[in-house]
Amino acid sequence: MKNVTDLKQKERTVEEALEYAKSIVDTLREPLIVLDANLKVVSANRTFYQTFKTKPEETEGQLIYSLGNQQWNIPKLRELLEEILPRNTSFDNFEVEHDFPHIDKRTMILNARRIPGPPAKPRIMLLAIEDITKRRKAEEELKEHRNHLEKLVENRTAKLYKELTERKKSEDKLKEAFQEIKKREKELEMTNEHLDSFAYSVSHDLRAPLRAINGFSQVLLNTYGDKVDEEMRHYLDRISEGAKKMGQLIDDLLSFSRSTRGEIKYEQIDVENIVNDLIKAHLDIELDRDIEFVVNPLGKIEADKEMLKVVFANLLQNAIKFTTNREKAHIEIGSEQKGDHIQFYVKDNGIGFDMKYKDKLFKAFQQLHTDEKFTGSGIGLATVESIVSKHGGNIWAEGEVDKGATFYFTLPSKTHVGD
Amino acid sequence: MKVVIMNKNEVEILLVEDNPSDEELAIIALKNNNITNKIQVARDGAEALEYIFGSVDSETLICVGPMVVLLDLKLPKIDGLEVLKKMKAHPEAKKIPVVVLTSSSEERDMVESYLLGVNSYIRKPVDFNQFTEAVQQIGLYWLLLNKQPPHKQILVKSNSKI
Repeated sequence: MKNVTDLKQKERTVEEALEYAKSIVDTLREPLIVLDANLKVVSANRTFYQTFKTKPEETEGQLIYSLGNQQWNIPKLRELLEEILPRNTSFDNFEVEHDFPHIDKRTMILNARRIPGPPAKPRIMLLAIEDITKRRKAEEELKEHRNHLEKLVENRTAKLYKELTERKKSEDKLKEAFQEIKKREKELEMTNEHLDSFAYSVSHDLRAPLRAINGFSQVLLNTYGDKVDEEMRHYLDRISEGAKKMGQLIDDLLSFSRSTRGEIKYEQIDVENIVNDLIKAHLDIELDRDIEFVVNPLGKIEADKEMLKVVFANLLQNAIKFTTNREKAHIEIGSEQKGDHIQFYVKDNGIGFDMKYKDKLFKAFQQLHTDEKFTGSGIGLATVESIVSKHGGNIWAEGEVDKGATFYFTLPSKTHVGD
Repeated sequence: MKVVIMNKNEVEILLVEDNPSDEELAIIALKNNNITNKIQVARDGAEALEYIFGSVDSETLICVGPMVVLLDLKLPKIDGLEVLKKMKAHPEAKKIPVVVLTSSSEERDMVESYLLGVNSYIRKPVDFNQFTEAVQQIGLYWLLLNKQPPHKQILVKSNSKI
């Protein structure tokens, strides 16, 4: 009786142990199957059925390879189960990839273990199937992401490098251009120096022979006046007149060349003072003429004093020259603020000019008047134009034949004093 | 035109001029203005310095006159500015009035001359009548109106070159 009770007790213990083992197996989240020595399924856990979409009645007692239309007939699995396992007691972490017709492609890690038992009992083995498809997929995605990122970084780096190279190239080009400019600047400086010494010798050497021509014809006239007849006197006058004119021409040319190459020395100037001084000087010369000067307020401006003097001297000289025919010459000078510039004007009632020639007025060596008493060197207005534009201003003229002319020019009211 | 070379102490005008035409015209202009003062001509800067100091490198003044030096700037050998510099740096020679009479109207020449202590700066006009007028003014001012300080007694070498 005791034996029976013991047996029953033992049986219960075994049952309890089995139940215990079964619940553990069922609780596992990994598919698990138990196979017998013939590789027939003894049992499987819930996860197995869920994962591989099958039922116990379709599974138990079946050969593992024939499960679900032989979807488990995987060469790799066969090799493991039939060749490796008989020689070893277990295998771990064998990765298998297989395309299950109704499920999808799966990546699995297989672990198998022979469950030891008494030699008489049929041997069973436990096959744990870990589905790592998702993990693998995640890993692959991660890898892809990483690759993508790496590629991105690589591309970015390459682009950056390219940009850097290009920038360096353009920097080199810039440097080259800068050097070229420097070189040009130096050449220009040299040219200017040449021009300078050229102008210097012109001013000195070209005038000396003119003094001789003019001087000795005068001396001839003065010394032999009583023996010189009218015709001889006329020719001698022409000679000295010619020399004088050429002297004036050289002076004007030098003034023009100075105005184009000289640097502006800015200072505060009382423009009315300049104009009034010039008018006084002219009045001293033109004693026999009736000229009315009207000087309106001209204010102060920052400009090169000597250059501005040349500008007004030329414009006034022109106004005086071209009003020679007038019984009463009227010359008006004034100014007006126009935005950030001051606009000056010199207006006369002289012989005027045809507006169709207005563009030729400021070109060097262009003359609009053929009458000898109006001819000049043809450089005066070119000099004025050069000075005005050097200061950042504009010059133009309005006129009508026989109805006078007005010359306008602008200068920036704020310049660079103190720069 | 004849220029009489005379005893240095009688010379009243030293004309430093390399151009023969200008020299002749200057002398005519002076005569036209009845300036009969004795004129000595030097044809370059070296000659001018030799006249005043005995030699180019000498630091000793050897002439009492002239009353005025008419100095061209662009001269062979030693240019006018250098002559001016040497004269105006010398304690005795600097009392001699120097009038620059030149073709140049370059601002830098003018400024430089005044910085060195020139007494007048006149640009030679092309027109002879204007030139004569300028010479008249020079003569009137420097030879008649202007009073000069007395010079120190100077040993005059009787065998001097000029």
